[in-house]
Amino acid sequence: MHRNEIRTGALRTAVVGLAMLGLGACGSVANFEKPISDFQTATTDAQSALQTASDTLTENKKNQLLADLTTDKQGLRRKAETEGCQSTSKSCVVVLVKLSDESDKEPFPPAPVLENSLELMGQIVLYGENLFAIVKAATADQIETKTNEALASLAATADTVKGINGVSENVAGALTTIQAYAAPAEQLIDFLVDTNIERTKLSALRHATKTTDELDPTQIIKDAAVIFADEAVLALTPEKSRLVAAQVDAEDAYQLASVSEKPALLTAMVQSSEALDKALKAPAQTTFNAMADAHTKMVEAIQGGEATLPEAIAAMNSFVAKVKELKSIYDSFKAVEASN
Amino acid sequence: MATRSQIMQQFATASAALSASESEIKAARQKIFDSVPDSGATPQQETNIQKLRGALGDVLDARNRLAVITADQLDDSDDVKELASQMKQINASLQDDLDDLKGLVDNAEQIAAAAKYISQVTASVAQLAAQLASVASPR
Repeated sequence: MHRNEIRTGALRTAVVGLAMLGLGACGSVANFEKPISDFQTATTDAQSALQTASDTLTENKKNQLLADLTTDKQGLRRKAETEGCQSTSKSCVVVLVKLSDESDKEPFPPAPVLENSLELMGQIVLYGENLFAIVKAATADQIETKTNEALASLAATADTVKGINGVSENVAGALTTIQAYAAPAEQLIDFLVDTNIERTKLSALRHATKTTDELDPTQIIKDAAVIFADEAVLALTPEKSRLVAAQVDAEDAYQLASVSEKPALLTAMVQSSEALDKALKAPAQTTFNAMADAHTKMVEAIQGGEATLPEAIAAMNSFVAKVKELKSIYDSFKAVEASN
Repeated sequence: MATRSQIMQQFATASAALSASESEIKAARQKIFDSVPDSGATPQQETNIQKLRGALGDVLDARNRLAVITADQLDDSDDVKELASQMKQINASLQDDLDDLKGLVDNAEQIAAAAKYISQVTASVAQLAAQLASVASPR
């Protein structure tokens, strides 16, 4: 048998075998598509909720500073000054200085509250996007299609080479030319050996979520979640205060009224109490706890650790539901703020 | 720079003091409510409720200020900055993995194209070889 026949026959066998071995065993990464996709979506929602929290706190800070210009509480009173603002200055800003402590200066309007936390949340959202990009990177099917095209071409090449050999020994020059193109065919074998694409993707997912001496994504997101939870609770404070005031006003009106007036005032007291109740029960803390829990279980499932895939999916569903509820509550508060 | 736990400890202490004031105000209000006659509150009772309402307003205002200050402190803590920096490193590594994956796909495309090209060129050469063979061995 001619050297080229041996080569092309072996090549075809090897390619087909590798294609079956390498591309047939897919699906493991696809199992993680749903929880990772949900993680990406839910962290984006959480980012939006945190942005609303930032807006609320910033607006509140601005209102507090404005109130301090005219307050009769001397400890809080501020005056406005400018800093810089000369033709040779590098900047010009207005600051509100506390009369009782002139080292206490606040720029006005104030810088956004939670700026650094939003940066951190942005990195977590990007992390979710990157994980999802790995899952959605070229699928085995796409690679298989490309490989099949290559296989079909190579099969045609092999047949052609056989035909040439059979024609005459005088076409040695033509065969040399063909042999020059054999290197890409060898590269194809290397490619198929090296690129079990699903294995590569799973390996990338495991690498991305793996704990190393320097970095532990699970712990980072747990620690970040604790801070976000604190901030989310703090951001609810102005709205809770407003609702407490409204509830107290409604209750005072009811309690101070005569017996005959009370029935008409009861509804307002109940409504204001219900509105406060809803704010008190807002899942600010639990949303971010759920984010950490869902991420931990997702990573465990990817790494083949304690949590199973169904457990990871269940935890992710819980996070998705909680963050939607929190976002909805923040949005409703924002709407109230905007209408005031 | 204070850590997250130190900041939240300070917050908890201040918040507990405000909660105690709020509870005292609520108890004082309830005491007045319990003595309101069926005909409605007396002017003195109304005045006292107004005072308590003012005191409550101060407590709520203090709580809002505490929330903003604490959120500012938390946001400015080294914890947040360090975590953001670590997440950036993780994302940089992830981007490398994604680039590797993209490289594999690009290779697949190039190799498939090359194999197709080999086939086309070989077919042309074969045709030429067949013509040459027929010329070299005339019947």
